[in-house]
Amino acid sequence: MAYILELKDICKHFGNVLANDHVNLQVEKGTVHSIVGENGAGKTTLMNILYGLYKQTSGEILIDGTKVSIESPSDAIRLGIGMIHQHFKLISAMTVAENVMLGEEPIKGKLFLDLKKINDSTLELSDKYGLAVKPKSMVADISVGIRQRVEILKALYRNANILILDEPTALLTPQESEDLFRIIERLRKDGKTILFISHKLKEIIQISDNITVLRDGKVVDTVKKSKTNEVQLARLMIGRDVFLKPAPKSKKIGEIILKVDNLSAVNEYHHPVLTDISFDVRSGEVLGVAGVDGNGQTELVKALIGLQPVSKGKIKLRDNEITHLSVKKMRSAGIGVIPEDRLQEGLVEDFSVEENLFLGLQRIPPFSNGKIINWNAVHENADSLVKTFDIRTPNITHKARLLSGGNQQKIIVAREIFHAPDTIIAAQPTRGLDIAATDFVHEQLIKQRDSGKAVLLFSLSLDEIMLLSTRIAVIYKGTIVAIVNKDDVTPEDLGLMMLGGSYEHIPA
Amino acid sequence: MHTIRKFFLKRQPVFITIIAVALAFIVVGFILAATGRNPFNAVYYFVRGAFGNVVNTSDTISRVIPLTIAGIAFLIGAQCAVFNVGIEGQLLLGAMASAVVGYIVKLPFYIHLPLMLLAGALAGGLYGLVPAWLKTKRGVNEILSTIMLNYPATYFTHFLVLKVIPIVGVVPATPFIEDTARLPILIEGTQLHAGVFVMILVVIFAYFLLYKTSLGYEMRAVGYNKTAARFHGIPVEKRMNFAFFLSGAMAGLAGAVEVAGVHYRFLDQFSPGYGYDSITVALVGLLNPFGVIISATLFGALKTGILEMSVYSGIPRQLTTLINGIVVLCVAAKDILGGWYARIFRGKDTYEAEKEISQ
Repeated sequence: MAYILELKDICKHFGNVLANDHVNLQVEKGTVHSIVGENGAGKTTLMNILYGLYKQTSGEILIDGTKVSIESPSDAIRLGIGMIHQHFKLISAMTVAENVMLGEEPIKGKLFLDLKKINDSTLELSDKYGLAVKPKSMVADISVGIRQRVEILKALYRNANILILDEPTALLTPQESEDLFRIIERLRKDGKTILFISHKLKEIIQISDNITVLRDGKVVDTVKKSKTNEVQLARLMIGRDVFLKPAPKSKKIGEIILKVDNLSAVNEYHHPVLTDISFDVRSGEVLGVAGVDGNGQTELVKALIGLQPVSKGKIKLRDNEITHLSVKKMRSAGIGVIPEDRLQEGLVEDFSVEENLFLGLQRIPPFSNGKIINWNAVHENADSLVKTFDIRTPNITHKARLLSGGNQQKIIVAREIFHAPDTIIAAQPTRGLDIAATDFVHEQLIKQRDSGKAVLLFSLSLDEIMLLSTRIAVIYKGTIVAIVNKDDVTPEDLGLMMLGGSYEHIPA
Repeated sequence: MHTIRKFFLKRQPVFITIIAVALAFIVVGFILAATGRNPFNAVYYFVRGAFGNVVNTSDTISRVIPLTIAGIAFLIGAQCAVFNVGIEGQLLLGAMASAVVGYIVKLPFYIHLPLMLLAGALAGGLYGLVPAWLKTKRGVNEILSTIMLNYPATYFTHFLVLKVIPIVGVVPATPFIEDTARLPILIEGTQLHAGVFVMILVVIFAYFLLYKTSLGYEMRAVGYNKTAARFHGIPVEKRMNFAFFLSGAMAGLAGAVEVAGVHYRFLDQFSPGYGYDSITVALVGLLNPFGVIISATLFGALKTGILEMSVYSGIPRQLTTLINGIVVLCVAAKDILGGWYARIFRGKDTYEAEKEISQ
């Protein structure tokens, strides 16, 4: 069979590191071919070689059976390869159509852009593949999901036949991901070939025809979708069995630690964002908060750590009311938080690993006497946390910015858990992490639960909620619509409630 | 080989800055050559002018003092996300306040001198609170507010020496300060005064504050990432207000030291733009307290070295401004050098490689 794309013995050295080790890959025309592997397995390097961003150290690339040399992205584009990067490369002050045309603008006369043609051809392309993009919207005003479609449009406009999507769902909500999969399906039907890079097994199984697994820069195996399953893929990726199975049941559920009573809050425009929220979390349990993104989770997390002003209601930690305290006081009262946006909220990227490992603790012993920092204690703390939590960093003075997402998350988890007080709020703690790192974070949260702490878990992933929770609260439009025991519900029930469907309240 | 590479890579910002400065001098050399002058000759007179003998070296150091203290003023702000470009104004008010305290009261020197320096710092610091209030309470961009606030300060001091304080001599100035308020000259016949010790203390203070105290750690956290700082209970606005005050106070102190050590009075338009130079000094010094001393030495030497150079080699003094400008350009554009630098010491794709390794 003729392959549209064939890679033969591709090797890529970075100094002494072999990022791709004799990679062989055959891609059939008109298929969705997934490349999966952990972070650092060499997926992105391979795709960058294909797109001309890197040059392979050795090996051949064949397109339609002909050997080609790809020196730059413009070569790749000429050969019909389009890449949709994980982080979009759009100009937000321009319209969608202007972005699509950028660099290849149709000209009217000698001087002027043919704006009508720009808009018309964008619309035409968008309709053809059901992208539902409005050519005249400003990129600044459109959602992440739509921006991604603009990137797809850019590639299509340049006549791409092979589309590389590099972790396209990393930044999308579940709904947006579903939309993306429909678009991919449509592209495939039209004869386009899709290279889909991901480490999320579920979606890979859902959309791929063929799956190639990379580990440590080598191809471990290429399998047909119909002949594999998540467990097998996970084993291939990691090289061992993984934890991603329901956590063992809570051993000992104790007294109420965190109690929220009729909590309400409004945003800066005085619209209610939280309405009469009540729940409690006990020692030794995980309360999962399930909900579709944007239903008040962010505000609830902020309210619980003092960043979101509360208009009504009470927050109690053990017997102390902490409702209107400052962030500093609420946190020192006993709340640890793994924030949902780790780069913005959880870390100071330009601080070193050790500086990040005592962020928020800079005024308490052993790190300081309140005024002067005890750097010896900081070093010791960093050394021990790096070891315990297996944070992969060349040294503790390395900048956090230079670490991978998984290791950055480990810094946050290590800090919050190690010094954790009574309650840990984990907001999207595994977003964007690969399986091994996810596994690690889950394990740590369960460990904390079993040591008698109260864990409040916010996640957009129902799977994660089902895996870890003891009880589950469903949040919808800023209010808790149900609190149920995990064993009493199915994911389908939860899905229904998350969308506002009613469900008989089961007292938990 | 590996260790050498590592050494150069780790200090990339430092070496790139040095290369950028060297490049600036090479460019200036070409300009001199193009106008028919011998650049090597010029360098000789430049170095002789800046460091050739005790008098020249002392003069250079006396310029380094205000540049360093003012550079630290900018640095303290910048480390806490406060871009105080109003240092010139704060420096002038500080100088005025200290001059007034210097001539109005009679006290023993061990009270008078600290008091007049303190008055300068306080005046600058309080003036720094104006943009602080505008920023943290009203959301006014501090780059705009501080640069505009330089004008009222300049004209207010101008007004004081012209209209309010009786003129004693021919130039608009305050009366001379008491001997007890003066920083003693260290080497007879030169301009080198005891302000150099104040400068060293200020540098050590800034280093200690920023890197050894919880407060400084919090200020730096705010400087790098306000959201994260807020998430971890650091009162962002409070820290920024403090940075405004301290930055202004250091600027005021720089002015006070000039009065106490060089002019012994507030002389109208005495500052050749120390406040503006301080920004360059701090940035070339990579916002590191000790780096600031080094870069202030460079800019101080520029000021004194050019003098001798123009006398002996016939190069116009206006060239100082040109050289200054070229140095700033080169340093500002130094990130262009980053790519070349990395290629020499890393090999091409190593940044990505490092990321991959750390994963």
